[in-house]
Amino acid sequence: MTTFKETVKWITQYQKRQWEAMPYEGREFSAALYEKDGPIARITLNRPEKRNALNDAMFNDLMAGLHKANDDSDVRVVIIRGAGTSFCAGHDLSSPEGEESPPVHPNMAPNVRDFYNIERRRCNKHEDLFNFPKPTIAQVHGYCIGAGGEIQAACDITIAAEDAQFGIRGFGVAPIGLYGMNMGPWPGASHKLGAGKMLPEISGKEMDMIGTINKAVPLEKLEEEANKWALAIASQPPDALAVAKEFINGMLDITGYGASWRVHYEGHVTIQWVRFRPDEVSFYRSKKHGGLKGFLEERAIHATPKKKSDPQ
Amino acid sequence: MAYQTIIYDKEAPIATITLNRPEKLNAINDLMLREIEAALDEADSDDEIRFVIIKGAGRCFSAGQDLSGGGASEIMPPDPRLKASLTPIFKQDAKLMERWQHIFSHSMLMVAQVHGYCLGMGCDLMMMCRTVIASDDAIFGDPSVRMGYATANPLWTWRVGPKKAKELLFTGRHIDAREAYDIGLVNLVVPRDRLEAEVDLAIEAMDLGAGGIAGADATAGFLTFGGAAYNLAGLGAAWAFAAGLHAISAVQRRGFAPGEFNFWEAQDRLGMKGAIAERDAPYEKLFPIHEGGAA
Repeated sequence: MTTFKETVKWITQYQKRQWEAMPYEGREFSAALYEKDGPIARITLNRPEKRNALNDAMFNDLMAGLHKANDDSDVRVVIIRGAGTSFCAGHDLSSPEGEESPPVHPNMAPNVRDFYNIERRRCNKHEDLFNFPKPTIAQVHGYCIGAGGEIQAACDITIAAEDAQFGIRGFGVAPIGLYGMNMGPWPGASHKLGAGKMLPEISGKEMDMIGTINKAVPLEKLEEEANKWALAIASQPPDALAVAKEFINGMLDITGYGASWRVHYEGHVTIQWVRFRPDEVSFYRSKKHGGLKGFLEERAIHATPKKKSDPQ
Repeated sequence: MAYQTIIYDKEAPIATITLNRPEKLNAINDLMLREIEAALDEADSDDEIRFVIIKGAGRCFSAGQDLSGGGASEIMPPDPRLKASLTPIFKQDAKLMERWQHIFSHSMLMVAQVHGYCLGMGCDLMMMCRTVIASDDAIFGDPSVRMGYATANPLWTWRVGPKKAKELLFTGRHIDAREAYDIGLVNLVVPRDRLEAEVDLAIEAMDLGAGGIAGADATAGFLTFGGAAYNLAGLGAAWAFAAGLHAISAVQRRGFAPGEFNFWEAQDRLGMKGAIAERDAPYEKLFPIHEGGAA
């Protein structure tokens, strides 16, 4: 017969969040690094040679870092940042078969049920970052594309370099999920930008202007500014912060954030069966012929606006 | 009806509610909130009234809840050191959110005319209004978190979006009118000496549209049932959620970690002004602009 204690343990296991499931004890952090500085924990995405493109190893280290930060009662706030030239250039499109980072290789998930499991697991990582009990700050410089944008969007506060480049350069997938929710229905006014300026790329300065991030500063001031915000938040009563975060996130869930995760991974699953017209860029077709580089070149020709217009 | 803490003026089609405790920077206490509710109900039941202006007498719109103790037990959580029983806190928070929801659901066009401080519950009241016109000296913010409370007004996320709501409520920082305009909290910023004239102009313009062109009944119908759109988008559920969170916020404050700032203890030691100065001092370094001694 199952004891009460076992039942509770089972329920806890069942309800585990993605970062709780990622052990940090004895872990060698490498794809993302963890450091503690007084009340601040810093998690540094650390694949600079890949512009911190997100693969399974990096996402797992990030989750383990959150786990560690949560268990350490000295830590009041978490800063997520990138090593090298960029914050995060998006999903690692060169990931080998076996990685859950998209695009998931068709061989890995031959049916919808498998796709759902993989996609849901990965989306839950974003969502569990979003609902992390302590405040989180994204310190963004360089490229912040695709999944990198999702990571900063899931953080409570985003401080960016003025010349950081935000954007979504999907391979046929629409900007949905948290990033889309942050960009779209909220006041912050797309009217402040010229038409067509939202995609594929806007600067940190422009993101600040439309209110999608909290502040943009010159690159050399970025670290100082992020630390300033971290200390301002770290000095607040932590329980009040936890309630405030639960309150705002709950409010967002009521308006549809919760459902938007579902829409997001549904979209990822659906994209596996998108048929591209002959004049469109297909990731798989293009990668098969020209490799990843060939795909990126072909996509760049299609996706880059002819002329970069100024904000109005 | 005779009011003590507000002034109610009627000049059809406009009713004006003036928060009138200028010596207290129009700090809101139980009586004032009840009188605001009564005045709005009075305006709502008056067929000649289609617009309500809410403004403050003296130096500012409102510096927030009355923290000076006494007369604010319906709108403030009890002193955490008293460890009051929970049931009244739960009931009070549920009731308070119902009251805000009722204020928000009125079928007049409500305009907030904001100058000077608009903090804490002053912001709550301001956000109830569909139109906010501020003078360039206005200052907005909610410093509740600095005292250990979480703000629980669902309209924050509706008005300014997730990132900015978190920024303001996690740091308690104050922003000026220009930044409030940039993040979508106010509709219009005008010079201080033009404030009243601009509010009159805005109402005149709305009256042309709402009264003359669309027809008063159509507009009233839009406003009365337009609230359903908010509620379908989740605001109806959000008030109930906010009540629960507001209660948790009050209850968790019953213990203080060693070295943690205790507003009530500071108030006994330094008086209200001193306690507020001590509360805000650590942030003046970090966010130097507009960090004042307002409640």
